[in-house]
Amino acid sequence: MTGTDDRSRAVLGRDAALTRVRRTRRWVIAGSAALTAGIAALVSVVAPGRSFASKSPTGTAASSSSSTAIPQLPPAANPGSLGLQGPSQPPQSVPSSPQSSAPSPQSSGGGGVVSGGS
Amino acid sequence: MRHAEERATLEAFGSTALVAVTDAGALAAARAVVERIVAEFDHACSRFRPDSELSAVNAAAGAAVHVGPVLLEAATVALRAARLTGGDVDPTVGQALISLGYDRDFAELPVGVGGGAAVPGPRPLASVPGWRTVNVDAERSTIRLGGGVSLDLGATAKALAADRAAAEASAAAGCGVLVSFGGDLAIAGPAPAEGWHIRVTDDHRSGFDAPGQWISLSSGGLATSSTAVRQWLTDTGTAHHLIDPLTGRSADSVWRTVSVSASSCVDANIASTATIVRGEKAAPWLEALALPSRLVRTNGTVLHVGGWPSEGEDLPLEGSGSTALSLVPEGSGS
Repeated sequence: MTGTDDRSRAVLGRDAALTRVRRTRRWVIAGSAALTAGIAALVSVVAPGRSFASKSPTGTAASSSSSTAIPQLPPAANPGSLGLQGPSQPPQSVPSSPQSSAPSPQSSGGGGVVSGGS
Repeated sequence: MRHAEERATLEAFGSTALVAVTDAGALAAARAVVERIVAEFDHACSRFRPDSELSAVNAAAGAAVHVGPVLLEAATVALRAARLTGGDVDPTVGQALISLGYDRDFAELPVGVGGGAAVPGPRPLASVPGWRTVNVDAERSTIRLGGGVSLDLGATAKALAADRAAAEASAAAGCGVLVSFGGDLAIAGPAPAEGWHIRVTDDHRSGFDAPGQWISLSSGGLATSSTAVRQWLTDTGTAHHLIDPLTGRSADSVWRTVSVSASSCVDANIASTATIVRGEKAAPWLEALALPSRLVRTNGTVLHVGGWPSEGEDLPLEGSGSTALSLVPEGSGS
């Protein structure tokens, strides 16, 4: 009889232990799911444009504007940072003519100016 | 619409200045602006005036010097020129010029054989420290040079002054204005109907009959750099003011005279100066930048690139556009 009682106690102890394990596992799974959901919610609020951001007024604005806003262009370059710029109008030839009627400083458009080394 | 053009000449920056307006009644107002800007730039940027801001910077021996807006901008423009040309136009050539004897206003140099200036006595050549030794602090309005560095802003400051003078004179006079400082010119406001007629030649002091070419320009700037002017004699031969930063000597260029048209006189001056230093390699560079340019070789032939017009050229034309550039040997430099 004693051997049978010992076996029964062992079976009961095993069943109780298995029950505790299953209960613990359920709590672990439920806790992990809750923790994941909590972190996701926190991230969505902190980072605008996430799915949960619509719960806050500012998040709503950010979310709606992000879907329709024109991408921001970089600021215009300072002209000084650009390369050498050509003229808007290139030099034009002045109608060639005999020396006697060559453009003179007093008669031609704008008068004559000399550009040379200095 | 035809305007009644009027002009005035004056002395500025050791050369002849000219201001022309499309409205004769506005000449006095335009001239007053130009004279003011000449005075401002001379006080800020002259390397020959002991009381200039630049002289204070050059004498500061590595210490930061507080400067006014004119010198601050001129130094910034000079550094931009160096950056855009890979250092071929370098403002730290001051000591090299001094070692070559160009240590005072050009008109005050001793007169040598043939009427040119002559610098007696051997002087050790100076290397060019390089533009990266210059620190311009725009927020503090200071300039600090490395030890032994001396700035010469002549290449770009005069062009910057022309751009400023033309713009401000046009605004004050209410008409089109052309300002030329020693042949480097800037245009602002409405040009005459036929454009400003410009004779491009070796020397800005030449008359209209000097070999060259007439062109018409309506906006932007035009600059001419030449090794044929501002020469002086040294013990080792003839020197000129266009320094090759690699050698610290006058550039031994294949080009005698280079004229460039650009959106501003500053950009034109940077390109023309760099072309003298760069030599053959500059022609395709100018073409790639679409800068209309006239390049006169030391043998007297001329090359037009970047859309420079060929009509009316007095000198033998070497070619134009890509045809001419195919003649440029690869890898040849100044």
